[in-house]
Amino acid sequence: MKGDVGDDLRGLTIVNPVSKTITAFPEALSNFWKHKGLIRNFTSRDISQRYRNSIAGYFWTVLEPLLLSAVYYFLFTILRDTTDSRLPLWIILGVITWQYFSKGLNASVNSLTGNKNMIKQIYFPRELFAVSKVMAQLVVTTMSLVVAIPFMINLGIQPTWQLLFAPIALILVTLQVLGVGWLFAVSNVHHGDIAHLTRFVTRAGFFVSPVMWQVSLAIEKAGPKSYYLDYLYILNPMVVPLELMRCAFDGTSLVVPNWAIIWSVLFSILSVYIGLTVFKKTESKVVKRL
Amino acid sequence: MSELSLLIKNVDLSFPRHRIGIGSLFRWLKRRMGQDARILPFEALKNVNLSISKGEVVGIIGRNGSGKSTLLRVMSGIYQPDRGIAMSSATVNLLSNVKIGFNGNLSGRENVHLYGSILGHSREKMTAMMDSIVSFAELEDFIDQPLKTYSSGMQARLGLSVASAVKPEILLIDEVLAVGDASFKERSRHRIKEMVDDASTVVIVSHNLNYLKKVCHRLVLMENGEIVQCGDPEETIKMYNELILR
Repeated sequence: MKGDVGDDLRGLTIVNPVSKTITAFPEALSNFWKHKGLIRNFTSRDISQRYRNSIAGYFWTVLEPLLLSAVYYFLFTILRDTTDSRLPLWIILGVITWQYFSKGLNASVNSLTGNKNMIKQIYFPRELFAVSKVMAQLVVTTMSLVVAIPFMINLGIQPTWQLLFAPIALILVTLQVLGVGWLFAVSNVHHGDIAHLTRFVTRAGFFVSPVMWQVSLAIEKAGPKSYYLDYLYILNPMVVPLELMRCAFDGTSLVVPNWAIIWSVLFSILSVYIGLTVFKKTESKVVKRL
Repeated sequence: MSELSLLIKNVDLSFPRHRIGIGSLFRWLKRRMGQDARILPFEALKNVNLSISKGEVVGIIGRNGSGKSTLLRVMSGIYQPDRGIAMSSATVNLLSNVKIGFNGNLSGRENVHLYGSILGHSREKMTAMMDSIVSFAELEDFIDQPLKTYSSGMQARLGLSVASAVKPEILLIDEVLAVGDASFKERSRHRIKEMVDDASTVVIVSHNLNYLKKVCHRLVLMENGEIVQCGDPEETIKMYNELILR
């Protein structure tokens, strides 16, 4: 009467099985490859609709960091009275990198709550929402970086092999944003506080991280007494990407200590591993709460 | 017995009950101190067993909130069951009555591509099928307009058109047939009949009993998250009517 449930399971596979803790990460990674068309589609949709209905169109990718940097530049030259001619370039690179971090993180934290209608109607790996959002932001960031070229020409800076630092910095930020984003996205479904907290962190972090200032300046200003404070701010995993980005374009050598670089790389990789694993493990509970 | 297409075995699923309003920190503290009773989860599916063979058309009826849509979502993998297992022989396409993940700012054509890629089809395949999708949905004049300019019936037509055009092996339909005008309803009926003839499996949730009686081989009656009757359409509908009047 209740539909005979025979035991003939030939040709049947489990619909969306719950992954095991150890295999969750590799499975999710292979899923990215399987759904690369979907990621591409989501990403291009995201980018194209962002600048739809605007006259300047894609020019906004350059215009936005340029305008922001102009404001910060004038503000800080008034406050700081600095003379370094490379400051505009530094600020603009810092602003672009930080915007990637802040927009990417906020987007991935909201990736589950913001797509609840779609999640409830069709199944596909939900971690892709964050991936496509971050990828769209990555494309926009890369486009923004074009703005560094006129500054470099103006300052007479020759591009060196250090330009390779730029993609490394972007990869580090991408991993951090995704990892922390996945972790926060599932907690954000339970407690809406997480999204507010993230917004605060990305705003306050702007000042705590070397966006408007440089690590070299901090070292110079710090003196021997604030030795421990030195370590403390370098624990911020965004310090290394921001510094890498700057060195990539102005050709100066990296001043952050080696252990900070190792820390940043380790943090990025670990956050992706933990974030994705937690995401896959808690997904089934979280979706029901949406 | 013929080959199975969908198998739901001993499935339990419960939802956490939402607490309304803010102040969850205060509530949490209260609960910690034993001042506030824990809210019991809502059991949406209780030990559900159902097997559906290839080429079968099964309708699910029941009152609002009896677990029909939840069952479809378990079949399509949206919800992972708390206990038990949901198995299928192929990818399951769910077509739900609410607007699918369509994006209002993109044109109908772009949305078809987007929906297609969510369903796991390549861009080339979608391009090749575009004409037939558009003509089935009768949206030739609107397909390059942003989706936000479409009426809800038009959006539903487009959704059904895409979901059924790709000839899925298993299609779950959640109350979409109610939308669309008479001529579209007739054609979607025809489309479902075609799919049945192609030996695809179809599961339909609907309140339109006459329609279900016409197309379904079997009807499932759900009540309070349980399957109370499964079998001959006439008989099930009779039981359903008794249940409502009770």
